[in-house]
Amino acid sequence: MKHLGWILDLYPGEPGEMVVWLKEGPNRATKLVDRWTPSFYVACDSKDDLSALVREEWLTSEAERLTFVARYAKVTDTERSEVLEVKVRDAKEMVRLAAKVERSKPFGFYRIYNADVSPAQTYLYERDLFPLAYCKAKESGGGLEWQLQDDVWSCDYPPPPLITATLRVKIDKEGVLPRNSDPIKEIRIKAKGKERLIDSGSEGEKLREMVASLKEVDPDILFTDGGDSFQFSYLAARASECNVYDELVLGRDGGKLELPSRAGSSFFSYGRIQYRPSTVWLRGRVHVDVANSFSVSEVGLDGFYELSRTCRMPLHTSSRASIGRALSSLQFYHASKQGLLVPWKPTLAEHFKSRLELLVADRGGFIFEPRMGLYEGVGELDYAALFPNIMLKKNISGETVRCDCCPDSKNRVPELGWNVCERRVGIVPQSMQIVVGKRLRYKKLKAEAKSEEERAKYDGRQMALKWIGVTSFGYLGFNNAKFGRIDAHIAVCAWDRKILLDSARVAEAKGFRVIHGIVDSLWVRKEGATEGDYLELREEVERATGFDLSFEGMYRWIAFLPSKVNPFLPVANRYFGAYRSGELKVRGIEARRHDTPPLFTKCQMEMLSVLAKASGVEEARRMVPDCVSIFERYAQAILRAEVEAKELVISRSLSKAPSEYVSDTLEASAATQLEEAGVELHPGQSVDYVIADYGSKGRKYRTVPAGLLDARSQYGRRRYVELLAEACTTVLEPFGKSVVPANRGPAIGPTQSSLVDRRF
Amino acid sequence: MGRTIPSWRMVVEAELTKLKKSQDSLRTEDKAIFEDMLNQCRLYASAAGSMASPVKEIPLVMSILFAQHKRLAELDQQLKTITT
Repeated sequence: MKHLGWILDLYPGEPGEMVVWLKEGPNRATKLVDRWTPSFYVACDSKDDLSALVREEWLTSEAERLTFVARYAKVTDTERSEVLEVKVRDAKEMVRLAAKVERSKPFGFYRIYNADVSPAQTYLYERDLFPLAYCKAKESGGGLEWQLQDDVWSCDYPPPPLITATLRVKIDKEGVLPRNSDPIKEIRIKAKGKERLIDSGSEGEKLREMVASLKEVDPDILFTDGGDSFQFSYLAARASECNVYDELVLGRDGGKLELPSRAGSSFFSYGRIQYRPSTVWLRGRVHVDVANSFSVSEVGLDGFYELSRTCRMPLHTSSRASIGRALSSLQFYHASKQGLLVPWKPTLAEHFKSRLELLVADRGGFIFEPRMGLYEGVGELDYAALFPNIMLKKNISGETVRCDCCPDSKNRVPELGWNVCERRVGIVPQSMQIVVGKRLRYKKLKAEAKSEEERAKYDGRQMALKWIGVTSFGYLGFNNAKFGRIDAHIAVCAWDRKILLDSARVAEAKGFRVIHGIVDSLWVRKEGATEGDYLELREEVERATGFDLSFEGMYRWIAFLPSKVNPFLPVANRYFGAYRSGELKVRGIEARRHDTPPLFTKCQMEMLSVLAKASGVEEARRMVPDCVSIFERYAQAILRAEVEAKELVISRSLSKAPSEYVSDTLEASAATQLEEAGVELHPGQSVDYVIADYGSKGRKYRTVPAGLLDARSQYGRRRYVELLAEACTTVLEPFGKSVVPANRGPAIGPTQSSLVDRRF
Repeated sequence: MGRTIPSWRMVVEAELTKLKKSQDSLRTEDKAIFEDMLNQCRLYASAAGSMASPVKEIPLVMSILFAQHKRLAELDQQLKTITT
């Protein structure tokens, strides 16, 4: 039988099967089954020992097939070696079997590959398919024959006719916070422009009606808010309580809701503890938990689809995956195409470096400290996707930098003189090609878009690819990355330093002064310079460096700010300004921080919007009293308690378990109260709270957690006005003014002058 | 993010912290000047870090020397402007 449609979902089914759901039309999703299982690979220094493995009964009984094949075992290999391919019977048992092989001898004796690559992803790589690909599928001989009618490079693919629905559950809470023992109050299912409200009958009846409604709506994507962390486990608990758990069928495959075996995990990443809940699968439907989805929350649905297609990751997985994981999938695809195996436990060590070499090598991108102050007529030049372009144009990858095959290579890393391979394209540049290429096209399409809807679509897609580009650099030096090696990371930084310095030299030679420079952006100024002068500068810098540069615009005015800790020192990437177009650019101040209360962000942005109307510095200075009026208005609203507490919520991340806090910090106060209310908190989770009695000696009285706020909750008005004054001073200080809390005397005061201004 | 040795800016802060004892022994009016001198190490951190010197005192001293030399050049220019 033949089918035509979009790949919606896929997962291992019964042993020997890969289940694929195809969206064949607006109201039809078909379950197809392919006879397929993944393989993992085993390498060993001795062929005899590998052959001995083939004779082990515990392996032959669980493997579908054992074959010797030729593959590149290490990313640095230039020749294939003989490895054992173990095709498993049941995809779900692959990791367990691989672990058994590894444990059968001392660690490192048998080197295992491809064991932790998801079977669904491996299926997509092998078949050269991707999620939401438009294809023909022919059922034949118990399997499927695929014919792709789509192209992963396509920038104008028609979106499939997906039905989306949102599931919300309201709980009849006994206490302040919801628990599994609280009964269901109502369930809302929003789909196809209508909302179904289920709020009558017993709990069992409500649950049955929910299942029936979902079956009738038959969504392809079901959105929840907290489905992974609480909502589905809550529904399962209530269903068990009402003896209807066996009827709790929310996927398309007829099976009851499966909950993960553990709640989630805390892990350390990028200098802080983070928490990720385990996921809840709905087979045949994609469950997107917006509270657990970086991609959907950051780049929207269009970006989410683009990420899944480009990185060949099933929608359910990519909605929860970090960008690093998505990037890894892209690398695995290219690896699979060239017969390169993916090490289960990578051991690609860096090249040895002497102490002096390390001092030169181990540095980041270049920074020109900002010249603090307020300027007019500054122009901003930005390199487009500089680091991914460096990887692409200079062939930087873990296996290409300091390769053994090209010691006399003409492609050498600046400052260090390291050779870079000229014989083969690295796995990282291969992966970056589609990311850089498509992003460039999307940006062009966005600029030429004929409607706001079209513009937003292309913007979401290019943002998703931008995130991959941003992550690709970090992954070069990430010790858990399969193909990462610090030498590649070092090489990219060395190229960046050269490019930014060369750019500054070209600008200075043309009479411009460098105001600030950071990694891939430069702010320069020349008295009397026009936009034409800046465009000419851009072209010259591009010619000199060989990398694409864009002129972002000229500023009406821009302020580079001092450090909050030391007002005599500048801080990189802490500035705000207004382009000639009137658009604001804001970095590093309160309005850009995630932990800032929403009200403070509104106040700062309102002040900046007023200042953005000024054509220059002097006119902006004359607008300062208007900004002070804005501060006074917000301050008075806080003092009169006219502001809703939710507008003052501060969000912070827990660095440890609540019981481990020794000092009575505001976070400790909020976390302790939540714990006492029965909430299980893990390091890395964020706590949202409102400051109550800031000066209290009792930990519990300093804050009110956002989840415990009620009509009687009061916030610390004086403290909030003090904090608001600090935030507003950030904006006004460059104009020579500061604000103090309204009930402490004059609203406007002079700021400290900076000794440092004359140093540059 | 893949760094092995502390960044130069981190080294600057660590070394300047060690000099706090010296600063604390100064008269009050001299402390601000000492602080200003140490700030030059922070201001010229990018250039000093590029030296990649195995002896960390060298980039610190060079930063201070350069700042002073620059100040002298500015004063020299101002003097010329006044006298001509």
